[in-house]
Amino acid sequence: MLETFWGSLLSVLSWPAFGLLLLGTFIGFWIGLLPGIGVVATLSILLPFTFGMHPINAMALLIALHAVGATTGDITSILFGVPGEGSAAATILDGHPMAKKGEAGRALGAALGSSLVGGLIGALALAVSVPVLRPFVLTFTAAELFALIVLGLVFIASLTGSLWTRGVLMAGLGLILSTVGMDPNSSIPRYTVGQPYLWEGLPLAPVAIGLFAIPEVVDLAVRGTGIAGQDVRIAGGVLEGLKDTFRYWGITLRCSLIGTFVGVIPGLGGSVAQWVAYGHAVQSSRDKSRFGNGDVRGVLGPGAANNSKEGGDIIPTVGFGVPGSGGMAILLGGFLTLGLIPGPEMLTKHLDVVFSMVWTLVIANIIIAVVCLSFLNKIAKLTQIRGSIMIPCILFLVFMGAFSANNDLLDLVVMILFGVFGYIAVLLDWPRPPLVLGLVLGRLAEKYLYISVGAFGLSFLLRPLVILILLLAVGAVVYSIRSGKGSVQALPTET
Amino acid sequence: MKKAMPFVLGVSFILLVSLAQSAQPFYAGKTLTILVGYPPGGGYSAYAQVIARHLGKHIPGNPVVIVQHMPGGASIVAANHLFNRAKADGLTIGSLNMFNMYSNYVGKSEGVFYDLAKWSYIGNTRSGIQIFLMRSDSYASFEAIKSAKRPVRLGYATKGDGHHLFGLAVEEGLGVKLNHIFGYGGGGEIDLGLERGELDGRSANLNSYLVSKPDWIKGGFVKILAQGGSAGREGKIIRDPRIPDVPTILELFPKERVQQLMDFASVGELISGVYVAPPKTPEDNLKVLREGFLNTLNDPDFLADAKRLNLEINPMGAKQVEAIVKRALKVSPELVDWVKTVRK
Repeated sequence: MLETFWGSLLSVLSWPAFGLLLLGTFIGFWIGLLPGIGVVATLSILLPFTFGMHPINAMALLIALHAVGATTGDITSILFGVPGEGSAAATILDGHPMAKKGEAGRALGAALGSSLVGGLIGALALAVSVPVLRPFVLTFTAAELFALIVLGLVFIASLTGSLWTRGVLMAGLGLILSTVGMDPNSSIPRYTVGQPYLWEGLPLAPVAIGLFAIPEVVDLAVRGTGIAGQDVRIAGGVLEGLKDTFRYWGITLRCSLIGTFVGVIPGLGGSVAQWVAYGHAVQSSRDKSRFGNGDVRGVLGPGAANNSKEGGDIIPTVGFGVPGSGGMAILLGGFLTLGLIPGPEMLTKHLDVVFSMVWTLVIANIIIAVVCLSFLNKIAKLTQIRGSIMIPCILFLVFMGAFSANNDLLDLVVMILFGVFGYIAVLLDWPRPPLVLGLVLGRLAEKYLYISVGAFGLSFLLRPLVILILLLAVGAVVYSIRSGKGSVQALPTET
Repeated sequence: MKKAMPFVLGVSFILLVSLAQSAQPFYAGKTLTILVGYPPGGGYSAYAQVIARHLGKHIPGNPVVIVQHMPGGASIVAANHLFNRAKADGLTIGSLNMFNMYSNYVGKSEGVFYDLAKWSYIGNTRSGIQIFLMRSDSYASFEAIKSAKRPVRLGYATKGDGHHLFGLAVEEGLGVKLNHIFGYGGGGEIDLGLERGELDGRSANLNSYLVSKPDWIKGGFVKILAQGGSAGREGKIIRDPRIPDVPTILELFPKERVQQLMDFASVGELISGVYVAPPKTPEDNLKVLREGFLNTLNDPDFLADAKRLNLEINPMGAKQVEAIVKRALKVSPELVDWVKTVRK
């Protein structure tokens, strides 16, 4: 097992795989940074060029591109509050407030550092667990997945801070919004106001961009300063963030494992991972008062999960043919082209290919981290530019980002509506993250509840693993209510 | 009569040449767009990408061919756009989900703004063969399904889709209740449900199953109990040559309701890779498109690319497509209502 693990590292580092990896990293960097094209579309354009390549070489190109695109999306999230994709929105919650405090460099360093460490931990976790991975994954039927999602919803309680009731109400609104779309159980469109656009539900990217980016743009216009209200503390900024990754090593480690776990389970999808990791970072910290106002731990959590989930995501794609994201769906097409059929053989006979994919992920991220570190401090200075100059640029990012969800004008309508809603929510001090988590998890919860009841009847609640997970959820609620009360008086001590 | 032959040939030659000349300037230097009703990454997109690589060669004037994605409503958004808003000049064509277009059209769903009888059909890339399969270690025969202690569990993506109708046909034929479970996010997830034991069986598409799960069929993890069959000559339904030992559902259950259900489902299967142009696309351009499309599907270079991507190709011309659509539109309102109540 371990021989294959290290052996595939060597094959990724050999020519031409390494050259293709560099090429993929280069393309992915620009695609991730510039809005409008998107990683998924680029992958589908590049796929035909990999015909006839050796699987390891082809995957070096495609996976490097996929991985780096996800990482650089974090940069726009932190600097401008514009999420690259819906799943990256969790980085905004504390990353952008840090930028506003003049700590953009530190936030970027923390995001990159944690996603680097997360990628490595995820790769190691996968390497160790490959022999038991298939049986492990197969124990999670729809019933267990439903219980896991309930556990995820419980994290909402920790995302609300002291405004407990408001948080739960926003989460409820998110759950209601998640029912928009074609109901698979009756094939009847729900709340679609006669628009087939909404049949597949509210698209996450325009919602998240509207909710989080628009209020920031308005705020920037009102303040009339740069994004950073005060001087950017350039010296040591990025380094400080890197150090934070290890200062709070507990959060980094646990969130990396959460990312890997969520990624490994087929049918949960990557967009859940970062939110759950953020929720965990908040919940496991004794002093929660600074979360949402620029706490570096709130950047480390989703950052660590960001990359480890990519590694985990490879498993359902190659092991079961169930891709966790649009990018993975294209990679799945790539496998078939190369004669690799997802299934048990991928985790035995073709294990070298799987490990080489994991290594590609790790190496591409190391490269991009090193490259970014060299100019992150310069990028961070963007936050000092006057708002009147930055606003048109940010609006461009906002509109292109929302529009690339479906290339439909209605994407912009959704984005603007949620932008107005998000601005009002900020004014009245209602928390927005629970809404997004409700929207993300609501769809999955409904799906797996229906399948569980259909397959097992109500007795699905009596399955041992389901009972265990639901007990955990109850425990988490009790714990967070108790500690929530305590934290009001608690001194801001670091854990 | 014999004297007339050279004259007829000559005239038709001149006609052809003038036609070619009039078409050549039209597509020369232009961009032809294939609008796909799904996001990048799925089967519809893969077919369109490969076709785009070769179609330009087979159209006089060699236009640049690009693929655009317009997801939403399982290709209903793209259908509405193409039918109403796209210019009917032959420069925009679409690859849309036929079964969805059909069932929502005859079922008069809200938000449907196209008329299936009015599309300018171009051709079809592939036909699907439905199969009904069970896990070998569950209830792997119709007798076992009939005598099972609980209704057997079958998984689907959406209620009322083609696979569900096939499952309903089995239910009608057997006369026992089956447990249909919906909400899976595609074939991969349904197979995962089978593997982890929450499902006993499913209906699937033979072509994609041979690509995605060849070891399951060969290794005996699942057993195919019935097939929808493919359309032979004169539209007669015959067993697919790749699974000659599996009976068609109509051989097994020659009932009227089964036949009707299969008719309803078959429009999506027989022309599952349909390409259309907006209504009233100019005849000249439509003719060029139809010919270019068929020639592309028979081009050895194209077929080699398709083979590499495991894309099954069964070329079909516009006439045949139109005949199938015409027959499908004659579906009885009573059956449409019945399918609608099933969907609720």
